[in-house]
Amino acid sequence: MLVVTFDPEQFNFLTAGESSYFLLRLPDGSLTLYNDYCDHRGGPLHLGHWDDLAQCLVCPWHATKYSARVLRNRGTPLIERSGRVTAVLDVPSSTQIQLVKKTILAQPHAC
Amino acid sequence: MNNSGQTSLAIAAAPDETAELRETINAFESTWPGTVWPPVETKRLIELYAARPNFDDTSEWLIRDNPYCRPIDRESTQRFDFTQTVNRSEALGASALAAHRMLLNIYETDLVFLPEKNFAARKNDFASYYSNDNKLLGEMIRPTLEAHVFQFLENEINVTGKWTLEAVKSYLQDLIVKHEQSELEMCTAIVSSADPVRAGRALLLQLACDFLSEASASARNILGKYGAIQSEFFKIVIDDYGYGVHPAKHSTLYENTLATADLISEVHAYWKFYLTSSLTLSNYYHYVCRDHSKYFRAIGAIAVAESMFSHTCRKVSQMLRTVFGKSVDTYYFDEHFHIDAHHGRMAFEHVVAPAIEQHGNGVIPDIIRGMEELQLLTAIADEDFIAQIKFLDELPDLKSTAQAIHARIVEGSLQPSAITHLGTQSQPFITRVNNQDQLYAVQSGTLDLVLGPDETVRLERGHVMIVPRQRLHGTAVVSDECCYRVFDFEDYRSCLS
Repeated sequence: MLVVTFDPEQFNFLTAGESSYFLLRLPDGSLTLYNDYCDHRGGPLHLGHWDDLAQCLVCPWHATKYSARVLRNRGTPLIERSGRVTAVLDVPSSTQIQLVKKTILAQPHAC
Repeated sequence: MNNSGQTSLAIAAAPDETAELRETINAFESTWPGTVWPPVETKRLIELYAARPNFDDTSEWLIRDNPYCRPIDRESTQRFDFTQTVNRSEALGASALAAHRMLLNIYETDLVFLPEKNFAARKNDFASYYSNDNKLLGEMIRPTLEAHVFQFLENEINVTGKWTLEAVKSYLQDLIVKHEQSELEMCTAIVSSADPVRAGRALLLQLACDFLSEASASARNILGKYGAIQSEFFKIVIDDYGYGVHPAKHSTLYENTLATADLISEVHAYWKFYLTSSLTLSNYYHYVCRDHSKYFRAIGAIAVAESMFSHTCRKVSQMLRTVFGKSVDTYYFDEHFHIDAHHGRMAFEHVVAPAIEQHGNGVIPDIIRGMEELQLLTAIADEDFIAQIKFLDELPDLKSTAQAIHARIVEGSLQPSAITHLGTQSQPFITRVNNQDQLYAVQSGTLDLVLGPDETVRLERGHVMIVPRQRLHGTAVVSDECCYRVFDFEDYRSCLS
């Protein structure tokens, strides 16, 4: 496993080997780091949109829905404290990682 | 007769009542979070508590051999609204200091303290401190005070995601590696202080708040019945208690350290000089260990503390030898450097990991929260302590700055709010922190600003001094009477531009 600590204001997208993750601030204020590949056909979830009515993230490819509860509880193990986040990635500790700032279209607007 | 029908009826009737009750409680809690009384009633109860004789203001700087004398600063309890919660920037503020003094008084009624000698002279205080009146009143205000000072942790820390035991293990290992590679800022600050001996003694004094009754809070978790984890946890606690051999008890070792640094080892002798953050750390352990619904948070906090304390103690031991030379007894820290390497492993492998295996991954967020809360409070405590050392080091600069600012007040170009005090020699000695920067200006008589048990700044007529926000200090009138003005500033540095 690989432990990564970074500033969520500076970075919101993380690539570790073959895996990619994006940060999402949920309506309850909590932050989740979620696998970017949709469980259905691998659609890029960070390019999805947030459905305010259903309170869920919608995949841009086939509209697979992810509720806030699923995003919060099934994301990568994450701690947010004092403006820093620490994530525990399920990849070998030698994995190269890349942190970038992207536009997260799936971000709920109110957050 | 078969009782199952009756039981079913009882169970069947319960949901509606429970739902109704829950709705009432929710409405109540949303109105007054952290309290079971309306704010006005809570305020009255807090004032009643602070007015108890054990907690009354006294004239002594040090409290000698009386573990039941624990002044709160009664005036401040009347001034603050404890039903509101502090945020992180206010966690070292004036209301937090008063709340933490009260909380430690409440928590420690569960512990046994006896004076070293002359019990007869303390018998009334003893009876009053452990009386049902005191304990009951304390219990009535405890939830409000806990919410006041600890609720901000909920906002500061978020734990999300699908945690597993392996993820917890990786996270903790990473934490330990980073900690062991770090220099402790606190030790660096002491060694590089203008007066390292003063700063070193200040640290030992602050640690006395917790170390003289070491492990008392976590021992709250050794009772009950919860399987093999309980016995493993017990092993850690009995190490701290020296296996019943008094000279090996960790608090005894710490008494020896204090003695060799010319400090008093009686419980809470330095009560008035405890920083807000020192009280916070002691109270946090009680907060999570006393309320057993926070059990998993508690074992997370204890696992982190035990894992990190070994390196911390090695560094503190080195620092003490650098500062005091060979005269100081560092065995307390040397022993922890050794034993906490084991305790860190034991706490994780034999308590935290089995707890997760037995009770499921659902307990992990609480365990992680405990680990994070303790780290955050430790970071705040380090900042607080370093700021206090820096305050003492910067007194000459603060004095000259105060003169420049006061000159502008006199000429009229600055008009800060001010309160005039007329003090007498017989007034109680109270230590405080303030939420604003303050400038003291003595108009007549002589005033000592007391910044530590052996550290005073004497202010005569016309003398001025700045006390930055959240820095602990007291005032003692040296002349028969003293008239002084205290000016408030949001940021005294902004007055210089």
